[in-house]
Amino acid sequence: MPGREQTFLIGPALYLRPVLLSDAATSATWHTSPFSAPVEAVEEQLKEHLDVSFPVQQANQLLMVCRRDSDRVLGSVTVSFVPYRSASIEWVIDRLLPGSLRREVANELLHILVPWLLEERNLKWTSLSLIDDDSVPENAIAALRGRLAYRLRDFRIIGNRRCDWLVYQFFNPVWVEHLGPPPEGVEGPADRQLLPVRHVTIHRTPGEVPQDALSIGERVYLRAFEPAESEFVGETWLQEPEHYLPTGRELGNPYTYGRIHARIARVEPPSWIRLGVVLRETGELIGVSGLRDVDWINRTAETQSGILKVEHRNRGLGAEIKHLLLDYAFNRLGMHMVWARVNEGNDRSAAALRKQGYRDAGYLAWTLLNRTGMGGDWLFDLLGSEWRNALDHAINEKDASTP
Amino acid sequence: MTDDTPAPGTRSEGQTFLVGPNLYVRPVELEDAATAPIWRRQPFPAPAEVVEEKLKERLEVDDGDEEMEDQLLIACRRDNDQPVGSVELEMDGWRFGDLRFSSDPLATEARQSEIIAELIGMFVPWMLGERNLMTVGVWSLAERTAVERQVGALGGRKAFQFRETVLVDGRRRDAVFYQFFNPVWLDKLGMPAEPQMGAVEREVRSPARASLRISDAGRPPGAMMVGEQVYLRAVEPGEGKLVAKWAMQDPEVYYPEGRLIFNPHTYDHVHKAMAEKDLPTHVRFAIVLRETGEMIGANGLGSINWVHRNAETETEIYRAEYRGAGYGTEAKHLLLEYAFEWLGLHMIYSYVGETNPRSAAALRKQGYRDAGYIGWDSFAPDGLCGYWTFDLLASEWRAARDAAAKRG
Repeated sequence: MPGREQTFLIGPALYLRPVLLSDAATSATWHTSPFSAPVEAVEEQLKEHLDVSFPVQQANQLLMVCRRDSDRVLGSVTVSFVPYRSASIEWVIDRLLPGSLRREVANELLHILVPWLLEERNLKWTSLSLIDDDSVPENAIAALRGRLAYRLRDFRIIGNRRCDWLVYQFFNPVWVEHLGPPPEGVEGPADRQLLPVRHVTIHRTPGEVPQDALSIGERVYLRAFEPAESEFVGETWLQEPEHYLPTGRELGNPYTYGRIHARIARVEPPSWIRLGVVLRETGELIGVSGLRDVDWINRTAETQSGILKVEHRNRGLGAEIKHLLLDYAFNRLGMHMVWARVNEGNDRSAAALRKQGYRDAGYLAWTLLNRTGMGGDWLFDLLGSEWRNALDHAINEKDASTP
Repeated sequence: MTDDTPAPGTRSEGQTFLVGPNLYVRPVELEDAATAPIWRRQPFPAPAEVVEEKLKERLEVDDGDEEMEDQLLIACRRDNDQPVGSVELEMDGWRFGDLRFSSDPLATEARQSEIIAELIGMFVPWMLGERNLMTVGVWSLAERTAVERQVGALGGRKAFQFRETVLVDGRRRDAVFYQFFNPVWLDKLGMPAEPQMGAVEREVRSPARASLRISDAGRPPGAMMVGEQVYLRAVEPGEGKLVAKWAMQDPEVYYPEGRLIFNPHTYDHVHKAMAEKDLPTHVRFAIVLRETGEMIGANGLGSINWVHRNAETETEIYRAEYRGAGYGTEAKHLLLEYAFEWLGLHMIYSYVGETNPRSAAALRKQGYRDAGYIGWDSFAPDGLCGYWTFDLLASEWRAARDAAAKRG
């Protein structure tokens, strides 16, 4: 009876233990993937996950949630650590269990994990990501001094409905005393009307260049980023006059940067899509844009955008690029929603996202160091339906003003 | 050193076939990687070197016949040689040919329709009149006037229409499959049966039930979806031997191609290989009796398209004694719940050989709509036979399940 001998990660009815190869036999109860897999294939996946260096294994713990009375597996917990600072928790509870039992399991896990991470591992904070399906009552979170950090709307498909993704933060009281309470985020209204979208993809007229374009706007177009262009990108990084990120100016190896772009493009459908942004007038590469963490089942992705040279910033090109990217994400790839994360202090990017129609989804505190101490990240979300309405609005306005 | 690059607009000079009034078609070349967004079906950006690698994988085959049977051709303008799209030409045993066109997604809808219409006008007469195929099939989108006109002019007909199959510019559109029959064979065999298509808007009545939630004590450990009588789980290596044995003991013939022969090793390998992909294009479940734990069949989703969110459903009940007892229907509704509510698919479709009326009746009972008929697609005891096609929207299936729940 392993659960009964254990001294920590144990609750009244449940205990947690490291995953074992033999857990492959019950993967339908705990696996994060929605696909079925033979035991042998899951064992291989587990070996890939576990045959790693000790620090890597310590930083990414996959734990089984078991009943104390029968040792049966009811789910799994993944705890990812940022060494000596923070951790994030995500769990899977057997989808075939009745709702009442799922809620009991969730509540007990919360009370096992949060005190362990804050009081024994002495982390500054931990986050917990949950689906908005009432599996954990708000009062249980409040009792552990947790608070909602951010909410991404419609982030997951559960049955026939879309659920929000809620990320809670729990802070170590010792550090709250040292640093003061972390700032709170602001969440915009869930139901809202966007300003009209004035940038739309235009069609290629016969014979018109560029032939490598995936999406064309008035002034810029998007195409695949070519690995050979990474040298140019590397140069622009070193020539960057502005300092707007709390982590400082970007510095990467151009060769690695180029090969990453070739590697991610070999996978179809891809989980990371990168596009070069080109000025139509000159054919010059002026930026890189993309979709990261593309989730093809839930149809969500994180948007990314950057303009390489200072002379191309603040000219409205960023908005045009973003709307081409959104058109590509929503209308060609069928994404349901997108989200974005901006380091606190990068006010220009945050303002641009709001102007482009993104909603403030909240704030994850104490994620980074800045000039004044600790800073956080602002989160944003945007639904495909909101963006399409805004586009239709602009098209109707244009039609109405045409004599 | 001389520049042997042909002057723009001269490449089709001297070409004797697959040349139309405005366009011509040629084999794909590695240099076409530079214009991939115009002709590639996949909507993802890829650096030229990656497209070149993919083209080499396709073109560097050991047997030249392999390339001839599944060809990628580039459609170009005659006046300037610029690519406007591509043609995937699949030769099925050199009896039937299927064509799938891609046109520049940034061209206007009217322009794309014109391009495809001209390509149909080049390919169909060539495949029927020169290659002497019995039939030619053409995939297209519905509501393309120029295409419909061309199909009519060449004596083709709409074989089937799958609803809301493809996402184009944010809108779901129907996919259409046209068929053209060789007049020589029509003379000998007569016209194949007419396709029958069910109403596009309809109310689906089917015995759809939600899958069960059960206590962990009663849970079969590998179950992904649980119903009253059966559950679905992964196919385990070693079960290939059982399936191979049952297949050889099958007393019934229901596929046009006759009874299937499974090699146990391949059967196990295929199921394991599917499970090794993070985002599979084929998922498959064993259908297991809850009462005895016995595997009685398998079902799954094939050709999953994650952008357009569609897939083909398939079911096999391996043991004759379990057929016609409702297990297949219960397993199908578990599969549909998985497809629509776990994976978020928008629609599914199915093909059934004309020799298998039991499966066709089961699909109709399960809520599928008759989407049409592909004539002369296989052999049957009395000559050629066709395939019935079916489709089902997630919204229809959900409405049917909710109505069934209300009825109790």
